[in-house]
Amino acid sequence: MSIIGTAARTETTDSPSAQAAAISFRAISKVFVTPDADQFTAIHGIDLEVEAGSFVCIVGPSGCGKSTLLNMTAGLLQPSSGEVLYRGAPIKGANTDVGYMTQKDNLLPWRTVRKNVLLALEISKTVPVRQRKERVDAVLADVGLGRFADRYPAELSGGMRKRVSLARSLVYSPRTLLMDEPFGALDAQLRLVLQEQLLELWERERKTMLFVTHDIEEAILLADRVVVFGTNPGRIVHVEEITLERPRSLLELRQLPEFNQIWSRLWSLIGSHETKEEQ
Amino acid sequence: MSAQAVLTPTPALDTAKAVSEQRRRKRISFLMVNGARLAVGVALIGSWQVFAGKPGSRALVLIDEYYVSRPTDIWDSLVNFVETGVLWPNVWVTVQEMILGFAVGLLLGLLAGFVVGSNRFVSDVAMPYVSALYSVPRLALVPLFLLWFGLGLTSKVAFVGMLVFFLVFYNTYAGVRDVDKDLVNTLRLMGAGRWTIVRRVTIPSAMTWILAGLRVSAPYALVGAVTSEMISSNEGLGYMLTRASGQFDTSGVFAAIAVMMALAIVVNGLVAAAERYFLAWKSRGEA
Repeated sequence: MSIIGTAARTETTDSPSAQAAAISFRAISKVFVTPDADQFTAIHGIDLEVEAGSFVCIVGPSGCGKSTLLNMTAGLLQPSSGEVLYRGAPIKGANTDVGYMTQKDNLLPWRTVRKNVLLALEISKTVPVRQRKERVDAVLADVGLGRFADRYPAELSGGMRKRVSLARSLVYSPRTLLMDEPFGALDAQLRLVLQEQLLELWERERKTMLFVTHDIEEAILLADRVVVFGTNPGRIVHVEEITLERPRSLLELRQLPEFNQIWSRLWSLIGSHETKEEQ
Repeated sequence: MSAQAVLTPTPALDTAKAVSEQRRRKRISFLMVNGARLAVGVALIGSWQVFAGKPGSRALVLIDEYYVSRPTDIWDSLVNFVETGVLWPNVWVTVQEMILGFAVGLLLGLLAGFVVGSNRFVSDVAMPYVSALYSVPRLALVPLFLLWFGLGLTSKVAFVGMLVFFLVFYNTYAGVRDVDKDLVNTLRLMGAGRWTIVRRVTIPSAMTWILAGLRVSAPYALVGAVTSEMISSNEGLGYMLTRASGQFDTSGVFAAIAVMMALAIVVNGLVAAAERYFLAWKSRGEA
């Protein structure tokens, strides 16, 4: 598995084939059977292409199946109908080409912060042994956790654990990053810092990003394309291409009339769906 | 309350003073607890010494020493056991049975717990049988073990091993099933193979359960060794005890019991040390 991963990784550095679809969702539906044998359609009729090296944000109300889509891309969940292609091939089993930052931090409680991040390198073997510690410390410093490297997860706040989880997803440079509301639990200043760092990193390495968020502002700031989901069942109600010039900065974007137009449009889309559901 | 908080200016927090105050309180409570413990022990043993004796030999005798002996007599018996060279060889026999039996039970329990716990099908098939075996009164098996393994060391090791096996097995089984699926998936996505996941997630995660199993089963190693010695043996602490009781030597019985207690305390200390070592991350997290 890891051999395929590394071989494929070197291939992209040779030829930046940005047009190829990294992830294709073709007529995806997912039906869950609840314990009392009821059926619940989480998502229905999803068609979406995520180009290699592009940044796609999914926004939508909670319960619209955003996480389901990420789980399918990671190969942890199979669609009930339709197919998910990753780099042109159907996903079978865990997709080791993606880094997945879930809503839960999923840190190993018996390992310190540093060892949690280090584990990703030990397993993926993407960095030579001698450089691993240095690399881990650099990433931890990036997310502002340098001083906490020797703490255990239980000794950290929720926001700090989230950042450890982010560091762990970044440290081994998976080609594709799936992120499920990674900055949701953070305070505003820190979120801003990490968003800018993520953008910087993305502009440097051009990973394929599939990023789920509640925050419309965040989506516009980061994405090439914002996909708006509606609920009941989860489905795509709108796709917005964001052509704002890069590199972007949130503080500058907020001054642009264009940014505000997009924001209002997306907000009304999501807002209208939420009210519809309440009726 | 809030009104008062507004009126009184908050005094500057004197951290050093607060810390030293906290330390002082801790030291006092430590002394109090240990002082009280010592007092209770002295009172118990002292009243035993005072109230037990030959009926009518002196004042204050409430209980016949024939039944309960006296602390000084027990001490004499113990000294006698040491001087005649009876004590250490017999302790060693029991300790050997405990260690070997514990090792056998632990290894098999861990292995079986891991296999059955990590395979749904095997678990569904095997568990009714395990429960059925587990519900057999363990003592009823001693005669069978004597038949199969003879009167010597092996049958005792087998008995201790069986007691420990079930406790370790159930805990390991529960621990393996309790492993967080999300942690496993996280590692799978990084490209971890089966063995890496077992080593990095399953074992550390099950460790809490396994150690709980050890804590419960370690005293059972002593129970198993002594019990099977009492039923049939010519050496070990259990044998010392039955022999003393056969000779109506109450002091000897109590001396043997005292040695067993000491052994139990050592065993519990070792388990506690193992727990502190393997679960260091837990206590740090709670702090």
